[in-house]
Amino acid sequence: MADLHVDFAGIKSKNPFWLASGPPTNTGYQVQRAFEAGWGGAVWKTLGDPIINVTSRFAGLNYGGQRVAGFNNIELITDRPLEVNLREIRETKRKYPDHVIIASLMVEPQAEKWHEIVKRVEDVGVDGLELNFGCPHGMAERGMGSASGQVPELVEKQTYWAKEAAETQVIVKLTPNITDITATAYAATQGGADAVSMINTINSLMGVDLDTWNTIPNVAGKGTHGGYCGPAVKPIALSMVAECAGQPDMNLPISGIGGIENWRDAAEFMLMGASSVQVCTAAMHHGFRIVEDMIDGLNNYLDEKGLTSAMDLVGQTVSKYMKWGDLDLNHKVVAQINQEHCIHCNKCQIACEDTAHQCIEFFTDTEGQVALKVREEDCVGCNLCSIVCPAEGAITMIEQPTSAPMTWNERQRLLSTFGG
Amino acid sequence: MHEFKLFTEEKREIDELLNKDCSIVRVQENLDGAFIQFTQDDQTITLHIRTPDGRKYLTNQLSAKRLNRTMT
Repeated sequence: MADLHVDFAGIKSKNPFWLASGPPTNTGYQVQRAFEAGWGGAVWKTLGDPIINVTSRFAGLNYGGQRVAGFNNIELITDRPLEVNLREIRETKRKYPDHVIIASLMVEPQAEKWHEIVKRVEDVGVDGLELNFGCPHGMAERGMGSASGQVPELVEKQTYWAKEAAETQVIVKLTPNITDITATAYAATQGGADAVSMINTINSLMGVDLDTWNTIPNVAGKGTHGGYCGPAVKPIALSMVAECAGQPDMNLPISGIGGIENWRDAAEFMLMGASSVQVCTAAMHHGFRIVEDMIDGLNNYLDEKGLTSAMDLVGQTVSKYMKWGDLDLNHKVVAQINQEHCIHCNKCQIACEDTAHQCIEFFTDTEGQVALKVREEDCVGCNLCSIVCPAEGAITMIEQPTSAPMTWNERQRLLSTFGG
Repeated sequence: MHEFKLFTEEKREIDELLNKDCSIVRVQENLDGAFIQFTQDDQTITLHIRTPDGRKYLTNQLSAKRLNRTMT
């Protein structure tokens, strides 16, 4: 049995699984239920001047047979008075002293506003603060959330203000609605942040109803942009974690957020540099008890890998993530069709012929059966055929022996000596 | 023609010139591909390489030659 404890910026957690700030962490009742289920920590739904929400706040993207492949919300921060939230945080922390409670905060970009809320929240015994510079909807129209988080100077300044008053760890939650997330991550570092978390939701409009021509979701026939999350955003979140984890001048712990649904997703984020992970949509879809499988799965995985601690996973893949120009141009894989597993649907041939490199062709085998084969010399190893193939094991990408590695950057340096 | 055939032809042309001890003196790349200038005995020959594998092969040859020169 491996040790699942993690140390996130000095915050000790019994496991890396935290509920992210959002509807699941709205009340003490919910957070206590989550802790009972096994979550190591929870980031309390964002505290600030209480708002008023609209009804019809969520929409799900169903894709094929998969429900909630993506999820969109136009819900704002807490609609409950700070005093009520603080009472419940204090009570929850008293009942569950070994669990992590982080308070998510969002106020107007003014020093005194940050000082006031930081002091009041820390008084009830939270383990840390997460500055919400990420929500793309609603609050952004009032100069908060992603409106703040897209401006590095504002990120730095507000982090600094929070740090001026804070005695606990300050985590800056970053918006993905920006061209280069390392710019705001760096700003957080400059402001004195103890850690960063990413990603908040992605700006989105879930859809348009073709019968009513209303947006989805709609509020009395009117709609607005919302925050997109769920499994569909995982690759975006993972790449942003990777970008930040690979920055040599930004050596902050990262809490990974975005589409994490099971232990596998969590392990991927940890390998890419996250020392805690936060989950919201999956808990909303399947309930708090999904954490049981996450704990078991991660435990088994660590055992299989011969690792004794979850912390041993953190960052193992970071050095393998680099700029495109540093990849080996001489590396070569080609597709191979395993006739025993092929179900002759021809999807690979259609995909290759129409949209790739026209290297899968029909042939008649010795028994007179028409089958497919790859003309390996023309295969560029793009992987498309193996991606569209519905039969497990029918197409394998086979590594080919090649000459010494050469990257694009090395090539360009070499050519420059020949006047290129 | 499949691209592999084009590449094979380009590779043959590069090898042929290199085997004749022609030296690559200039490589220029632009929107139309790579133009390699070979020289031998005051004679200049320019090869136009169009395929990505051809351009890759060229660089591997240049790299190998440079490595050989460093080692000898």
